[in-house]
Amino acid sequence: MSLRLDGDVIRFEGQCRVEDTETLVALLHKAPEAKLDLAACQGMHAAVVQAMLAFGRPVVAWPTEGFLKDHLAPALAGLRPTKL
Amino acid sequence: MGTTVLIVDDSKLARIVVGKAIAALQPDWNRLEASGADEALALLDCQAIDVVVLDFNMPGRDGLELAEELRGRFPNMPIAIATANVQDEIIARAREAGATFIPKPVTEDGMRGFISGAALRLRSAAQ
Amino acid sequence: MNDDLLPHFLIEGRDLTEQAAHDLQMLARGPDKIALDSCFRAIHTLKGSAALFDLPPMVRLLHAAEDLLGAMRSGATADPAALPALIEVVDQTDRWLDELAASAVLKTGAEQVEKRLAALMGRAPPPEASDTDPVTTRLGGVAIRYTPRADCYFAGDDPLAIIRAVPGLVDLRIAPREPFGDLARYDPFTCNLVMEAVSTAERGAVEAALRLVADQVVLSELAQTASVETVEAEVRTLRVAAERVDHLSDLTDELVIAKGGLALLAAQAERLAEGHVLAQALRAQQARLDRLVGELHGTVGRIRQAPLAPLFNRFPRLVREVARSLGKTVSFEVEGGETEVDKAVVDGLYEPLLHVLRNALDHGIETPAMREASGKSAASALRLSARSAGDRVVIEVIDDGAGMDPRRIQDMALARGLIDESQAAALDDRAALELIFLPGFSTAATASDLSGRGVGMDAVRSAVARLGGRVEIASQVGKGSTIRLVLPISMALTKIMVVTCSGERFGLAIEGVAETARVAIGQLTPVRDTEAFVLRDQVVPLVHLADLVGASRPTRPEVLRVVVAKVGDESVGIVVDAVVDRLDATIRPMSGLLVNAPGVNGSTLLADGTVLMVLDLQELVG
Repeated sequence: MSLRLDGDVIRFEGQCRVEDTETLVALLHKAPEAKLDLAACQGMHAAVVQAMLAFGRPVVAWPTEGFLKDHLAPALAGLRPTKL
Repeated sequence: MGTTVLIVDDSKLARIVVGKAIAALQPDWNRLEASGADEALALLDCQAIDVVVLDFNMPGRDGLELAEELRGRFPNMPIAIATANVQDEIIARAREAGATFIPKPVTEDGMRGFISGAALRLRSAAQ
Repeated sequence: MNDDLLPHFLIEGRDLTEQAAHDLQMLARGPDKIALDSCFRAIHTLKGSAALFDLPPMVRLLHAAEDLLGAMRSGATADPAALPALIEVVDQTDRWLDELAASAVLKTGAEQVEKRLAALMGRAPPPEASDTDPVTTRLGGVAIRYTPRADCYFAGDDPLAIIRAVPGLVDLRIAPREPFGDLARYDPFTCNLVMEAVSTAERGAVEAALRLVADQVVLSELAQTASVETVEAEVRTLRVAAERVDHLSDLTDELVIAKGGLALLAAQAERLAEGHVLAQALRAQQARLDRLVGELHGTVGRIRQAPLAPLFNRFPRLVREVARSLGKTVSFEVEGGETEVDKAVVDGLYEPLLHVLRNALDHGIETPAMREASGKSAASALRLSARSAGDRVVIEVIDDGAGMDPRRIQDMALARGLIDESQAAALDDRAALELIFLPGFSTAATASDLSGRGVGMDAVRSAVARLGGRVEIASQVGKGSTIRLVLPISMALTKIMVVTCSGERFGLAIEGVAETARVAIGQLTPVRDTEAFVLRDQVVPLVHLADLVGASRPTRPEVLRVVVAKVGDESVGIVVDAVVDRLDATIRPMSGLLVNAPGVNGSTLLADGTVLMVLDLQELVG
């Protein structure tokens, strides 16, 4: 299990794969106020990143893994709630 | 109904490696093997097969030709071609045939993307 | 130089300065980790983008601001003077964007401004050595734009892993390709991303890393020395007559088809003695052409997109006039006019929307007296809204009027002879509401001067269908009604299988095709009034395309060519004479006499100039 809802925080752990996207989207719907904690995330599929972009939830902690830290966090700089 | 994957490679060893990788990723899938294009086509005539993994280098018809033929019959079937050597012209033809490349030697990691995608596609087609 | 990138930078830069300013305002009210992170990201992105152009003072100042924000994030500084200084930096950046928009260069004196503001932030201008910072000042390299195909997740691609494998990656940006639209219907497995990155590696190395997705990638070299003057011409927008864009779009569609001819040539060359090399060359050329044509098609598609606002802005006055003539008080709201859709869709929506709005005013909304009698406010609310949802646009007309009573609609349809008793008995509420789409239906108890124009909801439905869309309806008695139009944002490419039948060619959307098979006559078994064959233990009924399209069946061959289609949960075999081709095409809605031809999805033009009818399998067989 690489995603879990912990209070009002969705925690990403280990490898978040394409199959986890549905879980993530379900959690995002279930907990509309939840923020994201990526600290323990070791890898992320593009579909997971896309869901993060779409839902625009605030990230409370970014990953420490090299690529995610150096490139993903700045790459998602535009991460803001989608305007409808 | 279960998912059936057909592994086509002239090397028995290679089929075992591919089979192991698939078993690790999707333990519930039925695995069938064929040692060449003709045997594969014969199996497809008598059995429902959902996913195909082809070796590129095979005597007789190569994996790409077989992929093109299968695409003609099954427009939406997930098809992968395992190969160590990828030339641009082959990439273009494989893309035309809607096949995914898997690097050889085949590993669980190398296989993961295709297998995940295929599982998603089969599920969304079933809905 | 990134000539074509400056307009993007100007647009994105405005958003980012606005965001940063907003975040700083939040921070001014008290510690706010989210606002601080957001501000840091906005400044970081601004800096990265500015580095793509020759704007050293702007890059250095933003770099200093990023450093300061970084220190604030890690708790290393809490200087009360920091916030006002940062606000000044953001304002100055915004002014610089004005200057860039006006003349594509920063005014002289930018260095002085930079030094003053850097000092204000308590940061000395960074030493020259920091010019080697690869992110901020590197001007050579390769810019990458990677637009993964929408179905790439199914093919097993992970675009993030692919971009990660690019050597020398220094600046990655990930954004949606299209707005996400309604999140309640978010589709997690349709890829909707664009990745932009810069690599310091050799172009050849970048190409090698991206070769499996070469058809989805555009590379451009960033020059070592940049000259901002050359940008000037690119900033202007160009106004072009709509007919020219239409013509360009038609030509692009034809090009898509013409390029399909190459596959045929390659196959023919393959059959020649010694033809293999030529066939290979043709295929390689075709792959290149594929990529270019795909890009061209996408670009022209975007040119064709226009906002709904000019259309929507025509309605407020019309609504006021109609409401006045009916003695009704209406507060009319319009939103989502900024949503962009294909111009053909914008142009085709005036009549249908006008009709839906008139219907709402005429039949839905009550008179002020009736409203007050039922405890509602005298003024009714009528709303026209648009939003994008994936590749579709959703346009709604919502009123808070009397709503529609399904039973009353059903009775009226009965009275008008549109349905009979047994049909009526079988209708649930939703199906009863749908009756208003039958030709010749009007629910007004008293015919007003607005009805009786010979235009009903049936006309709305077929107008929307012509644009490739559908109409939905929801209503609650006493509460009001919603009419929803769901339309494609752009006229996209569809994969089509071309089959022949009685000497004519027809197109079938590949999406609905499960497989093709050859069935020997001897394998057929009669089932009721038709025939069936067994495909891997499953009995598949056969229909003849000739029967469906009203042609005569050819003499029966020994082996039938069968296209197996999924219709709902069932497999159906469709007998054709031959499967002759596959192609990507833009399906155009039918026009003229064939507008309402059943079972026809639309048409497309073939390489030889003939028109191919594309059949709707669900409708034909279902």
